[in-house]
Amino acid sequence: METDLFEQTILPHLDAAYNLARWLAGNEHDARDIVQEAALRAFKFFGGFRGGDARAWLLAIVRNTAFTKMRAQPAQDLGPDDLDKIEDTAPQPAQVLERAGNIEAMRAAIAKLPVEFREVIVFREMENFSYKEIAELVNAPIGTVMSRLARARAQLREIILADANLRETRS
Amino acid sequence: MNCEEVRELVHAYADGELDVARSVDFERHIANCESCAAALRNVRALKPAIRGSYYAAPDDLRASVLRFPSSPDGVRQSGGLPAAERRAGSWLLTGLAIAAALILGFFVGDAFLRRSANQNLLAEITDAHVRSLAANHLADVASSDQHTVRPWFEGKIDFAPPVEDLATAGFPLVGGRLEYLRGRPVAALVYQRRKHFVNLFIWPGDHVTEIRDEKPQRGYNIVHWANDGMTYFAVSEISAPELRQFARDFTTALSH
Ligand SMILES: [Zn+2]
Repeated sequence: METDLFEQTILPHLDAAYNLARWLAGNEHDARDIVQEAALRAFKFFGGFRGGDARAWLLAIVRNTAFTKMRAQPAQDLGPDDLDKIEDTAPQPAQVLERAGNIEAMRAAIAKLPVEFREVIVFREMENFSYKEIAELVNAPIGTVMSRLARARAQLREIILADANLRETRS
Repeated sequence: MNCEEVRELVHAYADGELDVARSVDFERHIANCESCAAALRNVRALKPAIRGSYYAAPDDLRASVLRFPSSPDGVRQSGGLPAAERRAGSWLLTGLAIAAALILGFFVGDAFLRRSANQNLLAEITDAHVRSLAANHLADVASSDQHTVRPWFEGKIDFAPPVEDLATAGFPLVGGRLEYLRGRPVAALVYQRRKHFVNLFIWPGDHVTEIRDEKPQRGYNIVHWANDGMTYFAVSEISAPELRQFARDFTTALSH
């Protein structure tokens, strides 16, 4: 029965689908809508799924649904690469994070990233996809994925440090 | 490996994407370079908290995802609502759909319904194209050789799609795959144009039509034509004139 096969194949990846939708949409309400719609589309197109990585297949649909819904394709040009200016050996964010209440501070920082950076962080750090798999998911060359990841992490570190400093001066 | 090279590779190393030879060089460097070692620690320090930022799906979402009203071809979803309730819901929807169709038919005639059916098909075609790119699943049979791609379809679909390599016209054949449009299997041929891809969907159809542009969908151009008992839809991010050229090249290749 195809319906059962669909459930067995797709439902195990519902957390991944929701997590991606939640990070792309920025709120729970839209994330739910996106997952519902993506699940319907996945069901409709399940006949076209020819095996392979069901999670990547579903997440590609979620991503597509989210961007369609948000009517915002990720911008291709993110400006000049300014990695050189970033101080790699700045204070340890791990200690900063501990002081800052950890997960909530990190969630707030990730939410501030541009969506192109946010999605590669989700795919790499939360879903553990390889660079090659991420390149396929975001339709970008591997080199672009690498540079987005590098810049995403540099920005995360800066945001966390800035947020922590802000809290420090307030308290 | 110097500091500059190490800093460039620090993310690939932390992500386990560096080959063995360069990993050895990398490790040798950071063993003796405190500032590069700190750069690696900084990348690694973020990982657990990022992973911990995961949002799991709410339980009620899991339940409601199972509660589709019905699949496109009318197959009931299991789970979710009790069967009777689902049936009642679907009768209500059917009633509303009939009422809506009657009203539409009365006021605007069936041209509207035909147009919206066509619109659905264009949306499906665009979805199929986007999905093939996004999932990097362009071809079930990856070959630039038409003599490899053509027989691959035998026994998989009940018609023989014409397959032509158009490399000399600047559209090399990438391969073929099965696709489902309007609930039935169709042939998809994939061609490349520079960095872009063209999906050409083929199924039997009896209307002969000139090559014509369909309404672009979400930034993708679609060209449609039919001849010799086959219907063709080509979709791509390349420009409409180029896509029309592709259609002409394909038709020309067939007639030779
Ligand atoms: Zn160094």
